[in-house]
Amino acid sequence: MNEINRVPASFRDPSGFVFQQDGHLYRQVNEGYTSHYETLMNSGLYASLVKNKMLVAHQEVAINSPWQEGAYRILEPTVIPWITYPYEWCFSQLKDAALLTLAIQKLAIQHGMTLKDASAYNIQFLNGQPILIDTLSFEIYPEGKPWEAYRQYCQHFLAPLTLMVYRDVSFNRLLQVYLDGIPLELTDQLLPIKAHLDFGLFSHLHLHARAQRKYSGKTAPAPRAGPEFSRLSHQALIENLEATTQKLAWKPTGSEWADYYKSTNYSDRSFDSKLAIVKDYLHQVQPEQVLDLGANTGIFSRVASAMGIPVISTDYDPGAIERNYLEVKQKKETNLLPMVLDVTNPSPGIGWNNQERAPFFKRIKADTLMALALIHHLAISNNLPLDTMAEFFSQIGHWLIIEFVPKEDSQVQRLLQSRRDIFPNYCAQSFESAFDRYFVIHAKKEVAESSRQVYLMENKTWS
Amino acid sequence: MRVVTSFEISHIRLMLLYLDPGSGSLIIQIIIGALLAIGLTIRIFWSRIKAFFLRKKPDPESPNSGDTKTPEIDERN
Repeated sequence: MNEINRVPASFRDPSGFVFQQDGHLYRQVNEGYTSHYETLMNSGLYASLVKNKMLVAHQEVAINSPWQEGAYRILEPTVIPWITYPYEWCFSQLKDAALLTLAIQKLAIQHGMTLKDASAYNIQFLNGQPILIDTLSFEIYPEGKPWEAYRQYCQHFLAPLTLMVYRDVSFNRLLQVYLDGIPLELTDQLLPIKAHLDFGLFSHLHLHARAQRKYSGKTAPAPRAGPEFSRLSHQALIENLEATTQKLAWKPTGSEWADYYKSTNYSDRSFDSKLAIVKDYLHQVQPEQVLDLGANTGIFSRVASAMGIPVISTDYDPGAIERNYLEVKQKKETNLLPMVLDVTNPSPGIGWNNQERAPFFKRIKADTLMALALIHHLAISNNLPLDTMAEFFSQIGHWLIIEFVPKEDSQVQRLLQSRRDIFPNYCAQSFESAFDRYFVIHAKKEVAESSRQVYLMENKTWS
Repeated sequence: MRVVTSFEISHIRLMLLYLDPGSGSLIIQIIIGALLAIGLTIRIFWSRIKAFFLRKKPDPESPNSGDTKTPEIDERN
């Protein structure tokens, strides 16, 4: 029986949509888009974008879609293994996605085309780099017309990035609430006055917000005869947006976790011993993918990625993910994807029918999980019972590499400093019996010069 | 081959304009774009003047009062 369904997020654009059929992902191009698609392919723009890894490549396929009437072509694009959303990215991931959007627009103009939208959801990360996934985002350059996607660029990219720099690095989380980017009026109210000192920010955020307020509810004035927006203006606008975006810089300081590895009770020997244990377990399991929870800056994620395994490296501290991502860029790593995730509050399903943007654990799947130096935070800081944790892990992966940090450990002592010890059951025996309900414990090794244990477990309820 | 009517062109454009660009956004963009275009034109003009004078004499003339920044035309592809 064929399994055919339209991807829940793909419905707004009449040019086409994405659907799944027989385990393949396809993009239908509708007839109305014909001239734009042909221009994209024949002008050299497609070739140039794909060569520079700015757009996903696709094949044209000769299948019939259930919506054949009105279809011009069916494309099979490159699949992105893991879908992530802008409210899950660190600062530099969002900034790189923004700069890519503008670089694509500059290239498009050179080939007589333009981007008709500038949504952050059109960008995904593939092999360590941002890439445009919406092939139908291009249209023939309309001479004399302003850039339709300008508002979206400001709301999806410039506003959150500016708020992250001038106020707090978590402000991109607002993108989870505002599906079409942060409203400019709200951004204006949240930013300090000193943001006005930058001409670009003053124009594209503050003046832009005022213009939106002034003209809301009014129709745009009828187009004058002759061009109202020259190519030179367009070029100057894009370059200014680029310079303004480029100038935004955030330094992670004061976050407790980025300094984590400087102030733990790891001696060099314990560190090396833990690395060796993890490496040994990974060799035994031979994972297809690894999901690392609480990965901090990704040191242990890299044990897996160095073995050629695709890894998604998550942590709830945006500063740690920032450092992780900068290392990915600097070393040009292709199989490590860092992203921000709070295990106790993962991204929910949002948008239309709460399905347009899927919840984290429905979207991100891996056969092997790593949970090192994590569960004492769940147990002590978040009051999660060990049984609940075991059940949770049993629902998300087949293999589990997990570290138990006992009460004697200095990290746990630090967590208990400011609260009453209401955790009589927090001990290795209770941990093992809680997990034994769902997992087979294959191995247990002690980290040298510490009282921590790292376990290798296999989910016996996994199908 | 028949001629495409202007009705069809506007219909297609409307269809593609599925995104609401926002009236205020279009207006402010035109204003900002025009200002920036003036700036860009001046920078291009100034760099041509400089190039002209630097080519003619071995010692460059003392710069005029005012803007002494080197214009950087970003020619990234």
